[in-house]
Amino acid sequence: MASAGSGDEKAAAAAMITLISSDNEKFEVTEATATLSQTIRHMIEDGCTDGGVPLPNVTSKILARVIEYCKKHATAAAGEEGSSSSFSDAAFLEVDRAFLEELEEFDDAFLEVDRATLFDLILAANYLDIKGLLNLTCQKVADSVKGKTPEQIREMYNIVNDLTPEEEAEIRRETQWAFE
Amino acid sequence: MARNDSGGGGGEPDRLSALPDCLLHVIMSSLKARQVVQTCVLSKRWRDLWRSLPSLDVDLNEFRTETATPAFVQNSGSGGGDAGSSGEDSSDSSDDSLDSDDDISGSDPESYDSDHNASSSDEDSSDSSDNSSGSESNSSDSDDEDSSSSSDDDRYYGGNKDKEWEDFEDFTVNLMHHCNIAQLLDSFRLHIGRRRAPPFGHKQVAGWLRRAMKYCTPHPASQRKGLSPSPWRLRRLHLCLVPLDNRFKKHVSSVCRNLDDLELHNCTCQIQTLASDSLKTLVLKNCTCHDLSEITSPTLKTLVIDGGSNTADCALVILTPALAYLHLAVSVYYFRGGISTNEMPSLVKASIHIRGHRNGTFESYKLSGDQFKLLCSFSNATSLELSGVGKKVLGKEPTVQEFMNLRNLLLDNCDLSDDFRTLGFFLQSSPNLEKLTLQHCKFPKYPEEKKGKPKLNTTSSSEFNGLDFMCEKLKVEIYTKKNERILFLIYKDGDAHQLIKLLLCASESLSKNNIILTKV
Repeated sequence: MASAGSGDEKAAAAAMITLISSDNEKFEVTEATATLSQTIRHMIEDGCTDGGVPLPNVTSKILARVIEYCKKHATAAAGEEGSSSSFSDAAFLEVDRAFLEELEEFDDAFLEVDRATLFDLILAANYLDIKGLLNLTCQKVADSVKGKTPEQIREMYNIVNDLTPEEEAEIRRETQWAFE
Repeated sequence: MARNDSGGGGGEPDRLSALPDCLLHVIMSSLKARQVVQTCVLSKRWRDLWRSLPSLDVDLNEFRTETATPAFVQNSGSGGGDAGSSGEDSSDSSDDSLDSDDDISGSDPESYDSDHNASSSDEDSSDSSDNSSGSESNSSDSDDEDSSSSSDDDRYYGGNKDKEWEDFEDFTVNLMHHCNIAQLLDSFRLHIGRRRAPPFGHKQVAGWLRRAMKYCTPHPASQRKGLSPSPWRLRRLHLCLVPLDNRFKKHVSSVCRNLDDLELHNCTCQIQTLASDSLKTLVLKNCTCHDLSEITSPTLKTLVIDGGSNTADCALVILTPALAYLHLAVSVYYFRGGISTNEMPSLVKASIHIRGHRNGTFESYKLSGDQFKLLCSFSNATSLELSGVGKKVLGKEPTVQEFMNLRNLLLDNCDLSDDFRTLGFFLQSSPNLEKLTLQHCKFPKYPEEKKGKPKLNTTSSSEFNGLDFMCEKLKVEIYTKKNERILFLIYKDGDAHQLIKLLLCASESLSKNNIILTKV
């Protein structure tokens, strides 16, 4: 594989973008895949992607997953690019329902990760500004705490209660209307 | 961090609290309001996070005093970790689907299966905290709203309604008081159960909302000077089962000037005209409207009217020149006054489901007569889904209408037994048609000849032969019922053959290669 950086081939490789992870691994992706990230889209628009895009906040392990997500969703994104993914935009998509189903299955499988990876994906999605991935991963966390008591949530996510009993009692008094 | 490591059971650091506020807000936005407020006791980090949350979802279901029902005893108790959470998850996923794109595009099977839904809603609504999806499926067909399903909830539900309502009331009033609704709130969803609210409870809720809009303005001072109230930041308002009237409408239009997404589910609307200069999306799902005669918005891009009713004899006029997506799924009975639209030059996709035309009596209803006119305002659409459109669509007069942009046409549950006049009309007027899908359509019956060629009566056969099929790209794919998953052309056996033969013998320009016949 020719690297995108080699001068002569610049024109031919124009549609390819090189992403460089924090541990210096290079990933070559199509522009369509890369621009699912608003961050990278803006970089491309500003013409500062020559020589690769360094992503110091994203490890190669996470970047590989993010690219996997973007590749799958790039094909479906033609209609909703640039805008918030409210249903009105997606409704215009002329994609087969079968494909949407497939995409959903992909998303479900994609979320089968351990908790540390999930949080890494959230942070990467936020940093790269990939709305779909951010919503997907945040929803997964939200689903996990839905209907749980504060105690259960603490236990689940190892949240250390650093409130003194007095402070906690005071807060509960202030927000009594939410605990009745 | 080190402290977290030693403190936590699994030794994992607290990655959740380490997220920045904006991301915690995203996560909290998916939770219901009471749980969101309760996170304030988690730790110092969480103490005030809820106060700045841009999105609130207030739901009476969250206040159920009894989390389980006799049929689902294993879910009982708030500590019932996994069992409780799975019930919760399923309720929420069905809840979310209201907002998702799938719901719109996929709502047709739902509406046709509404009987099935209603019967299965016993399970739904008896599941813990699952009333939202239960009432949702019950009401997808307005027929059984009042009678049969109303008992489901009560029969299985043993909670203390009075306590629930009191808690809900205290919570909501306090919440509106404590949150900076006017300046921070971006999205607000208010959902009241159908049958668990006390008499007048729904009106009470509408009152809170109206008062909030009237008095919770960022700069009351300027208002006192006689200036109009400064607008809320609110962009998304989603109300379920809240009765709305003209006073409400007045406040929305003067206070929620940034509103671009308004969704009303199962609301009673005593509003005659709905006008907005900011709305981009308007969804009226199963709303009972009284004399709604006009929807006007120069900005509206998406309009969904699904189910519900309007006062008899009151015609609804839709004036939305910028509309790009229209979804109309209404019954001819419940919108007796009919619906008419102006030109929609930017329309991309229109999906029209007319229900109740099959019962013979439909001819007297306005909506049946208006179909062609309705169709004409969609002439720029690239994608059309017509469901339940009868023979009536063309009327008796020969009609000319071009669908220059039409690429994708779906006829579902349509009566094509007029010797394919309707089908022929579409084929002829859509030069750029790329995909035609026929689902559950009624076809004319022709006695078969020995050769296997269908015999057409003379007039129609010549008429049909005379059609010039301009759409060379047209591809007809056929799947039998077994292959329904693909959802593109679904048929009963026998009819499929007939159509293909017909299409074959009717037109030379439709080459054999373009017709794909797949039989399972």
